[in-house]
Amino acid sequence: MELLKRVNEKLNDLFMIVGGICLVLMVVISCGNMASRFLGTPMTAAYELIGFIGALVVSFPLGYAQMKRSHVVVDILSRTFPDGVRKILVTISLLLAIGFFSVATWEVGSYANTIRMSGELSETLRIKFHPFIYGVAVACGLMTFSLVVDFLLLWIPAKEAGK
Amino acid sequence: MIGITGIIILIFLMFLIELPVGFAMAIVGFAGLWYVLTPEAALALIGTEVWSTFSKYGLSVIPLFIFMGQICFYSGVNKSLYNTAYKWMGRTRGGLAMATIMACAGFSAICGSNTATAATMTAVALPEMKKYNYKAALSSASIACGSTLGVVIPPSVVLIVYGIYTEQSIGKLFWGSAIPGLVITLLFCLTVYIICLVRPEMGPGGPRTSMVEKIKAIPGAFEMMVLFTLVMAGLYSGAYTPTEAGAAGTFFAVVLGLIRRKLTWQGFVASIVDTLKVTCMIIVIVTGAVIFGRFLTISRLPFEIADFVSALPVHPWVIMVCILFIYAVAGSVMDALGFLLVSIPIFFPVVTRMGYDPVWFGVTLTVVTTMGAITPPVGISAYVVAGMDREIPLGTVFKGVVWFLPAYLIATAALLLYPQVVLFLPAYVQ
Repeated sequence: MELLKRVNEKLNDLFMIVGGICLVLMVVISCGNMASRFLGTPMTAAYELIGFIGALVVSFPLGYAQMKRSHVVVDILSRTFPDGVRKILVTISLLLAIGFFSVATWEVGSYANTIRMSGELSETLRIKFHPFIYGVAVACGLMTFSLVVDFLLLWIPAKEAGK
Repeated sequence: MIGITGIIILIFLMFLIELPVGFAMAIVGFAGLWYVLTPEAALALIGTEVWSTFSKYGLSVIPLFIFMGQICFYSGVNKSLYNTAYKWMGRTRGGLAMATIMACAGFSAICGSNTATAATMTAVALPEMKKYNYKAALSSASIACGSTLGVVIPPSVVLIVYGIYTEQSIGKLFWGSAIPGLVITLLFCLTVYIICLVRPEMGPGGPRTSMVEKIKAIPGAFEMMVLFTLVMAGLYSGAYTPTEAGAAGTFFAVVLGLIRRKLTWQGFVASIVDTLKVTCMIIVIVTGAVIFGRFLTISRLPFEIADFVSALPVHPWVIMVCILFIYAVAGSVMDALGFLLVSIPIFFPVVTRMGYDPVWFGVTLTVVTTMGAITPPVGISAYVVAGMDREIPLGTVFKGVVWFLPAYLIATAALLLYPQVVLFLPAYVQ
């Protein structure tokens, strides 16, 4: 269990580093575009690039945000429940989230496959952009993995204590 | 009927099983689409919606403005802002609380986050107010209320999300919220003044400062002024897009932080980590809202509600007050942004059908839902203040907050009675 937890942390840390680099890149491209526009030679592909890189900026921290409990939860009612009941409800919540993100991983991946096989290019830069979609699919996959680790952590320590 | 069932299930998932707001909206929206359309169509839609929302150029404005605020936070801009306000206002009775509110307003103008402002001002201003024997109710409430200004004063993340979601100009929303933000700040200061006039022991005067000290403190507000002017002037003139304004703001925040030797490498890395976390949290809610909104649109519920409400034999003004009341109550039990995104698909068509201006509605909504950040049971800013100083019970913070509520009510009434307060400046935005 400890190994899974560590793998989850390491992977999410790695994705955060890539996400951070993408964030800085977004600033550089935006500022570069502004500067070049003032000089009379705007970078026409800047908007498209920022969109693609932005997709990585928002998707790569998904697992990390889950690990750090950053997602907004309304616990006003559930925190009044007994611990046992709450644990079961959180389990249902995690299972629903695992189900949804598994579907999202698969479907975003399928969409990337479709784009790759059709040979579709981006509108302005005329580049293959399916690697960015695959990136989002992988980030959704890591999110699913983080949710599974959370689910296991919720139940396995209890089992170990009972042994 | 299917739309109403979806909303009931959504409420159940959010409140009973602690499913994060964004996940709950996405799951209910997906299940609804599966039911209304075909399983194949619902599955395919998930893939395309997730990608198209994540890669939308318009949404890239969110991480950039958050990044700018985080850079300022880790550069200690809040401290220097407070110092400036403190030197100018600290001497008067209640002056430290007013200085706190002004510093909160200033920091909000570049940060845009309630909780970050509450946390940082608690650390900076609360010890000073304690030192000069300010009563805990006044000192803690002035921080909690002041921190909520971040949602109203531009650049506000909530306004950005509202603008993207309802396809309104972010520049117009920012300029529309500038005067209301200023009015609420002044009303808060007036509240402190009246409290200390009636009960002087609540906020005794601070130490005397000379004119030289006052003038020397002015550069403390320099970063805030530069960044605010840079962002707002660019948006006003149409020289750059909101995304570019965020990028330019971030760039200059880094440059100013380095020039003043306030921004360290650790601070820079921490600001990236915090930006990514907050951005991800917001985009998950936005994506959930997009999927949920798609389902509601197909169910035709928003249009049926809009038809029904607009046909009611009451003045639109009455309906608007009812809508704002719902937002005020909902804001006190759940996250403002979350509720905004859950409810916009339902209320936005109603409001536009009644002839209200979308920019006015967006700004008024932020003022009303902001109140929720300080009112029980889920007053997040009050929680942060009480959480950071264990000597102050949560009840004391909420008790102090009650004194500031009339300021919100007056501001909301002013926006309802005089929409030009909001619409005056956006009319000039290019």
